[in-house]
Amino acid sequence: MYNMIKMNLYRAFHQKAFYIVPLSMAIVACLMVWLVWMAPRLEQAAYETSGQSDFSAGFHAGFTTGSVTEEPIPVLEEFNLTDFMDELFGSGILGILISVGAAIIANSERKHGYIKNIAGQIPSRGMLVLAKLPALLLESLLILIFAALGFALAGRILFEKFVFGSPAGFARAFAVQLFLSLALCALILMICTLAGNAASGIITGIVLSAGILSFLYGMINKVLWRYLHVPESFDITDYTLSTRLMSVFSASDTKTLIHGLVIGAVYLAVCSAGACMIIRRKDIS
Amino acid sequence: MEYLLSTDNLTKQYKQQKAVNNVSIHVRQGAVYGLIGRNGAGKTTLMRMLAGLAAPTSGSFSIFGETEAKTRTLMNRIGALVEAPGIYADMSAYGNLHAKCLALGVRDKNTEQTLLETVGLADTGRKPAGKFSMGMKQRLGIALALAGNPDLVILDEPINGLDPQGIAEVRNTIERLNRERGITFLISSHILGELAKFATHYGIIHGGQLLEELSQEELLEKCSQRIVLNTPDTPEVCTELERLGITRYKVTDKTTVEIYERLDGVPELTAALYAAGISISGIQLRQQELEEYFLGLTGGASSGDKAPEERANIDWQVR
Repeated sequence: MYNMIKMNLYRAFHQKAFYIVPLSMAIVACLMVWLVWMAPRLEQAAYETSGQSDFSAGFHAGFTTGSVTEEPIPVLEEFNLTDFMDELFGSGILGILISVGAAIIANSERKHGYIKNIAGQIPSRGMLVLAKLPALLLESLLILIFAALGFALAGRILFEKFVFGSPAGFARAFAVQLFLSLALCALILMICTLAGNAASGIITGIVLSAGILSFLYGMINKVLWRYLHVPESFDITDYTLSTRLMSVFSASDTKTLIHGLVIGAVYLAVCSAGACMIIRRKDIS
Repeated sequence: MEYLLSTDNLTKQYKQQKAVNNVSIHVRQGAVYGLIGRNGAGKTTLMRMLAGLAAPTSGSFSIFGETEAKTRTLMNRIGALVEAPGIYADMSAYGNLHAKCLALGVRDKNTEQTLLETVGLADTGRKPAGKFSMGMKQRLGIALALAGNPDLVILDEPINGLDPQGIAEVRNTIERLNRERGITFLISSHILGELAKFATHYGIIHGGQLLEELSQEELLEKCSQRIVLNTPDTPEVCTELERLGITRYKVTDKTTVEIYERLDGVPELTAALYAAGISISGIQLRQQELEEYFLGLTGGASSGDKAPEERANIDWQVR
C-alpha cells in the first residue's frame, strides 16, 4: 500500500492538472476579490451619474448574486481573508474545482492504460483506488491553500486594509472543509471507477456542488414526510455531502463542525469501500 | 514444479459468448511460448486472465506450482504487456518506469536505467513518451513488463506495427533476456514467421479453444521436408516403398502418401514406382511453414464460418 501511495504521489507531482486546478482556484479567488472591489465602485459611479442604482453586486461573489438596491452599496474598505474564504466555502466553486481535480487524478491511470502495468502485480485490487486518496487529499489541500493565497494576494493589492479575520475559526473551517473535500474526492473516485472515465466524475461534482439536486432532495423530503411518516424536522440535505460542504464556515458552531466531520467520514468510508468493491469486480481494460 | 505456468480449463465468457473456452496450456520454465491464433481467437483474453487483469469465468491456473488464492501473492513475478503499451504520454520513459518501480517497491535505484538500456531507450532523456515512435512505445511497454524482475513475461503482439528493424530489435531483446536471465516468455503474434525464429513451444488457439500444443521439435517434425506423392494406387505404393526399404512414410488420405526419407531421390523413386506399374498423378518435394501448418490446423482462410471443433476434427481426420 505504501508503495502504491508513493507511486500515486509521484504521478500526481508529474501531472499538469495537479498544478493547473489549484492555479485556476487562485485565479478564481483573485477574480472574486476584484469583483467585490470593483462592483461597488462601478455602482457608485453609475449612481452619481444617473442618480439611481442600475448596477448591483453584493459582497457575494461566485454563484450568489447581489440584490438591487436603491442606494449604492458601500465601498468595502477592509479586506477580511476569513470572510472571503467563508464566501468561497458557501459558493460551490470549491466543490466544482475539487471534483475536476479529483476526477482527472483518479482517472489518469485508466486514461493512459497505465493501470494494466500494475493492476495484476499488486496483492489487492483495492489498493489501486485507496492509494489515490493521499494524492487527492494533497490536491484538495493545494486547492484550498491556493484559494487563500489568491484571496490574500488580490486583497493585499486592491484593498487598503488587510485583516486575516479569526485565525482559530479559519483553521477550524479549513480543516473540516479539507476533510469534506477528501470525502467528495472519494465520491468522485468511486464514480470514476464505476464509469471508467473522468467526465462522469466531473459532471457529478458539478451537479452536486451547483445545487442542481436541490429539487430532488425536496422531492425525497416530501416523499419521506408524506408516505413514510418521517417527522418534518428531518431534512435529507442535512446528510448530503454537498450541503455540508457549503455549510461549514469560520463562524460555525462546534455542533455544525462535528456534524460535517461525521457526514464526511461516512461518505469517505462508504465511497472508498464502494470504489474498492467496484474495482475488484471489474476487469481492467 | 513441472510447469512454471499451466492453466486448467480456463474459460472466459462474455454474456453468451465464450472468448476463451476450456483452455489448458502448459508453459515450462525458460521457454518462449508462442501463442498463435487469428484475430478474435481468444489470445488477448487468455493473456489478460493470466496477467491478472480479468477474472476467469471458470477454470483456474497455477503459477510456480501454486494454485488458487496463493497465485495472487505470486502475481508480482509476472510482467505483462497486453494490447497497446500503457504509458503516461506526458512523462518520460524514465518517469514511466520509475512510477512502476515505486509501485512494486523496487529498491535498486539503477533499475530504471538498466531497463532503459536493455530495451535501447537509454538516450531518450526527458522526451515525453507520447512523442515516441510506435516501436519505442512498444519497447517501453516491454521495459515496463520487465520492471520488478519478473520470472514470466507475457507479451501480447509485441512486434505488431513495427518496421523490420524494430521487429529485429524486439526479437533480439527477448532472445537475450531468455538466454541470459532465464526469463520465461508467453508471446502472441500474428507474424508467425518471426515467432518461429525464437519460440520454443507453441499453443494454437482458435475460436477460444486450444487446438494444439507442441514444442519446436514437434513442429519441425510436422513441418519437415517431405515427398508428397499423389496416386490412385496407395496400397501398391506402400508395398513398393517397403520393398525399397523406405519405412518413414505416412498415408495421409486415399490418394496421398508422404515420404520422409531419401528426399534427394525423387527421380529414382519415380522410376521405381513406374517400373512397378504404379500410376502416379503427382510427386513433389514440400516443406510446410509454420503459417501453412497453422492455416491447415485452423481450417485455412476460407473456413472461418465453421465451428472450431469441426475444423479440428476435419484436420485430425485428414492427418
